[in-house]
Amino acid sequence: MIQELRGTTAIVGVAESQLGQVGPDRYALDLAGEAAAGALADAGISKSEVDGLFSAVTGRYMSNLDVGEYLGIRPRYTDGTMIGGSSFLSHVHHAALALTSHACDVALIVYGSTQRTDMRRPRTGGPAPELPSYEAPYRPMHPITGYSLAATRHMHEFGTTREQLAEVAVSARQWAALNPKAFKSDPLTVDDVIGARPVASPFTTLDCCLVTDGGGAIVMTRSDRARDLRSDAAFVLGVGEAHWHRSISQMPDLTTTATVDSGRRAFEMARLGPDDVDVVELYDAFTINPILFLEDLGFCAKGEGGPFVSDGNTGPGGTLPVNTNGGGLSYCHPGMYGIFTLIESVRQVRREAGARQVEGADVALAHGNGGQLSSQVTALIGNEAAL
Amino acid sequence: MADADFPVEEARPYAELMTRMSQGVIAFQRCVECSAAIHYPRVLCPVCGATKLVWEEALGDGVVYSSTFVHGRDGAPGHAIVLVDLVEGFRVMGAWTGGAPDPGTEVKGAVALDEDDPRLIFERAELT
Repeated sequence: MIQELRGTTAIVGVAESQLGQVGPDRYALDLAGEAAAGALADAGISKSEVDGLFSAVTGRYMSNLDVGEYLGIRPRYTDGTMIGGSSFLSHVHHAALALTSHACDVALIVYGSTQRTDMRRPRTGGPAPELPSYEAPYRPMHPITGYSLAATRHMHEFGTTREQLAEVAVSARQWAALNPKAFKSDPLTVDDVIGARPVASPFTTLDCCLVTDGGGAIVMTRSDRARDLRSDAAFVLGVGEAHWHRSISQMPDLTTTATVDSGRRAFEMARLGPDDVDVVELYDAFTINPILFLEDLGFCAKGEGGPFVSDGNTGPGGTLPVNTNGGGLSYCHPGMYGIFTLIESVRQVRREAGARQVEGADVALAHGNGGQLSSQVTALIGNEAAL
Repeated sequence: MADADFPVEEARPYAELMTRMSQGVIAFQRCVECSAAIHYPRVLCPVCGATKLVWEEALGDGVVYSSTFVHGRDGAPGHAIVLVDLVEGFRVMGAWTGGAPDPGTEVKGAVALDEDDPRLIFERAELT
């Protein structure tokens, strides 16, 4: 049953909105709309054909209602799944199911955020607190402390070093230097990372993702339509979801994420394994993330993520290219980065990634994370040769 | 107010925890069905789903599972946060005075009532 989804749907359009710091006159829905227009143009599909809508727009409690209204889309299938930064990979799963069951014919997945610009707007009061909170009295710095607690534990259990964490940021920056859209592309060293302002031990500012604005959108159809639209459709080979907790004090084991489930489900659906993957796009909210996810996805053994990243495997020219766009650490991070792992995966298997193109990229793995290592969703995206 | 179709035995777990902590007790729930230690408190057991839960009192003895030191900005003081595995079989977040302790450190916790909400503060101690 689960394998029936393999290759039945495809991503036929992708686009980013303006990224970086867009200025005070632009808002999250503007960027969501700009990305949606771009993805539909990329697909060669009219907006009027969209009948399946999926979105998670920052600051919008009823995101699909806002996006539908703004874009003038009246979906017959609507899904506003909101599980943090991995939401858009979850949307790909749900869209694949909806498309294959003919609940919709053209699915649009949308994201927009002006997180960076919002910090510079007059404060109108923050969001209402989520009550009750069992962690608030300890003044955690969300979401950073969730991840720094995981890093501390990983270092304790496996001997992962401060330098190895820094290597993750250095590798991301090397890729970012090849991406003209990257927010930061100046050279970065391990010493720079370790010597930056400390935030929450063991992290400095340079272990933490950027705070930028940005939007992204994806258009999906069933594969027969996709082949009529374009010769380089990016097929959804496999996708898997998992979440085990919300707050970090409820996470069973801080060194093993629900990625072990999401990854296994995606690989099983795709009938592929880690050795079949040509390029990897991981949600790198913090430097510990790629280490955890490379382990949990089976690219290296548990505990060996630190040595794996510090041996130069993941950078340009490495054996396993990881975060070829520069990642959330150096390219773009508007708060829920997951959609950009998908957009870069599509561009890689379409062979249109320019200076950062991975040679022979037929199968890409996109992995989203949400909350505090809470939600994990893995997708395997491939071109016609990968089917 | 109408009654629930399936009334649970502990309908107001947060308020009950705050009441017990304000009396200096490190309270948690124990599932009568599967014996799981439950924290934070709930209306049903997150392991087996049973609603027959009883309140118990923890000693405060435990081991640091992980820790982090949150640095202050612009000269403000920082503070440490710990995750502690208590001997009764559950994990809590807690406060810690000074630099973040290493995972594996044996600790003793107590309820502090010096702020708006009762909270757990841990310190180094030999487990007996």
